[in-house]
Amino acid sequence: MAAPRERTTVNLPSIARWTGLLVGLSLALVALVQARVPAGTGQVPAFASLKAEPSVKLGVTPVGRELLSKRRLIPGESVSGAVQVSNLTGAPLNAAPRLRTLRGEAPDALQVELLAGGRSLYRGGIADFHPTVRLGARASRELRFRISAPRAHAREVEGRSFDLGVRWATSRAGR
Amino acid sequence: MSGGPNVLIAGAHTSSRSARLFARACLTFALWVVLGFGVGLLAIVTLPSVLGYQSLTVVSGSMVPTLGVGSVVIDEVISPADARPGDIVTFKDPLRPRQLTHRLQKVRAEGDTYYMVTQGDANDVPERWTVPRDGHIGKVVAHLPKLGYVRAALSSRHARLGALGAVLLLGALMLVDVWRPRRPAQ
Repeated sequence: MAAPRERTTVNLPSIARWTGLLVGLSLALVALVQARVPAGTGQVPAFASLKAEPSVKLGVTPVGRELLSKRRLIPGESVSGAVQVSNLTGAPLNAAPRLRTLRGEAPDALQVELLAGGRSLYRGGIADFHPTVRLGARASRELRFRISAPRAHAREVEGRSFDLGVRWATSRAGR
Repeated sequence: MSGGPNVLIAGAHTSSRSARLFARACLTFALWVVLGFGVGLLAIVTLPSVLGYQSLTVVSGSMVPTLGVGSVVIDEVISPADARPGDIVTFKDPLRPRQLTHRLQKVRAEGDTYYMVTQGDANDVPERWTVPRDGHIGKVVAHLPKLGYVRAALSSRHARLGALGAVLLLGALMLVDVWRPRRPAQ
């Protein structure tokens, strides 16, 4: 005797319910996607501040005052400020300026350049800023800090507000 | 939901019965599309707060035609440092105890304060206000026209209970559909 033939059954109302619910939810999702409001594309300069801190062995001018000529930092452009540093001791010193955040959050994308007498002593990211300046006995130098933000990192920098301080570490310089 | 009889695809039933069943399935499908759409919209309006967003209803025409009266806007809560000119933002009215949703014209950071200038698309006069650096504002990421009227209709306690009941009933029907034993094939 031949085995009974297997017949395929489909619960049409159940399929209609489930597909209907899925289609309805998908339509709601599509409506949400369609309802998206485009974000603004305007530019907001960062607010940057740079102040030099005093040191026991160095004469720093100006101290505690704003160094940057302008405080609006636009990605792709730079702001700069200079500080006069003199060795107050009778022996040559290595002065190591260090940047630290005094207020707000300085973006890691910031680029810093340190110039002395037109020569670049450091150029790179703010996190790796560890230059050293040699100062002869009673000698002084003008150090210029240039801060910029690459255009590629505009989103990280725009709209931020931060104050940076320059702290000085000194050590006796070898002859 | 009665859950109609199982239909034999590979059978030789009468065409009128099949047509009736098919029409009924189409009707069920349409009804559930509407129900699913409604539940989806309800979720869009109510769930944002769980995900760190907020949804608000537009009650004035100051942002017409971008945001019409009765629209529901969904706001992402952001730091003022992340706001950009051109964004539509929600903030506390500097003059009255209410919230405004207007377009950001200018942002200026200075120290720990952000100075904002906003203006409604349909307004002539901008408003100036400040927000601390660690403060928060809303940034409109989506708007659903007219949905605010539905929300207003659901604002009464009875209407909310009714909507909740409808959602629970929907869930119960789906569970019944999943767990109900199938009839044997004819």
